[in-house]
Amino acid sequence: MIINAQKQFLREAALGYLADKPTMAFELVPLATLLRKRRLCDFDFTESDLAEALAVLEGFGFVSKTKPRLGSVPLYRATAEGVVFHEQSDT
Amino acid sequence: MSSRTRKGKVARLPFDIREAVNNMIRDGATAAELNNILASKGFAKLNGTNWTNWRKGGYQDWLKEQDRIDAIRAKHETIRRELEAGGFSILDKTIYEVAQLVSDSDMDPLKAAAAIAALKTAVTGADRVVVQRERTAISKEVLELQRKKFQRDTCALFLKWYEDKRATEIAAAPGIDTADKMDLLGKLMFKEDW
Repeated sequence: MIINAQKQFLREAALGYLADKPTMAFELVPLATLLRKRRLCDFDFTESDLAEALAVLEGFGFVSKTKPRLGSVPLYRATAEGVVFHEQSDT
Repeated sequence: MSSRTRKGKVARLPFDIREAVNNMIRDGATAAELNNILASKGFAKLNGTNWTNWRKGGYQDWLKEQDRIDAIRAKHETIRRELEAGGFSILDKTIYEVAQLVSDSDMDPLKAAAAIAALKTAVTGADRVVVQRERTAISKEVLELQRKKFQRDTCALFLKWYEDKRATEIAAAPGIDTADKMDLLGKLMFKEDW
């Protein structure tokens, strides 16, 4: 179980990664793997933690969740608002 | 979600396979269709009992987890919508940060949005007060400068008109009160501007 500060950090890391690739959509597991591989979070988190972080970002309108027509696993991508917010935060 | 870690055949599959399987079960997939997915990903097929056990246990946990995630998303959606309805944007970094902090608590989303909006309004109001104070200070400085300019201009005028014969005659004229003298001097010094 991660603490609130880590939750916030995970949200920012996930949004940052998705906003840097706004044309691409990611499944939850590959996204978690990428965040870990690139060491964008310096703490352990589970797929469930990432799902929660993405739910928050989705609620705030920074990330959209879509289900592929022929698949069953949802894809996540940054929305225009998410990209703008990430760029504003970066500057 | 169950507090104990599940150890069944499905539970031991990788997270993404379990996600796919659970999504398929929710969409009404049969055991044969689920086995086809497992086979396509290189995993051994499971028997009917394995799937039945998963549907009764792990799948129920997953549904609860989905409900929890949906509730989190809905809560944040409500906060964003309420803020936007009040004319505030979640793109504002301050608002976003407060929204995050408040939403991580157990606060009702409507109350959270109202609290954030109130806070933002208070901060904006405080900023306005500061600006107003600065404006007042500048106005005071302008008045002070004008007063000093007036005093210097008066001294300069006195020096200029002190040696003027017509002015000294008006100033020294007997039988004329001060108000009339001021009127005459004004006309002499400022002509049509008086």
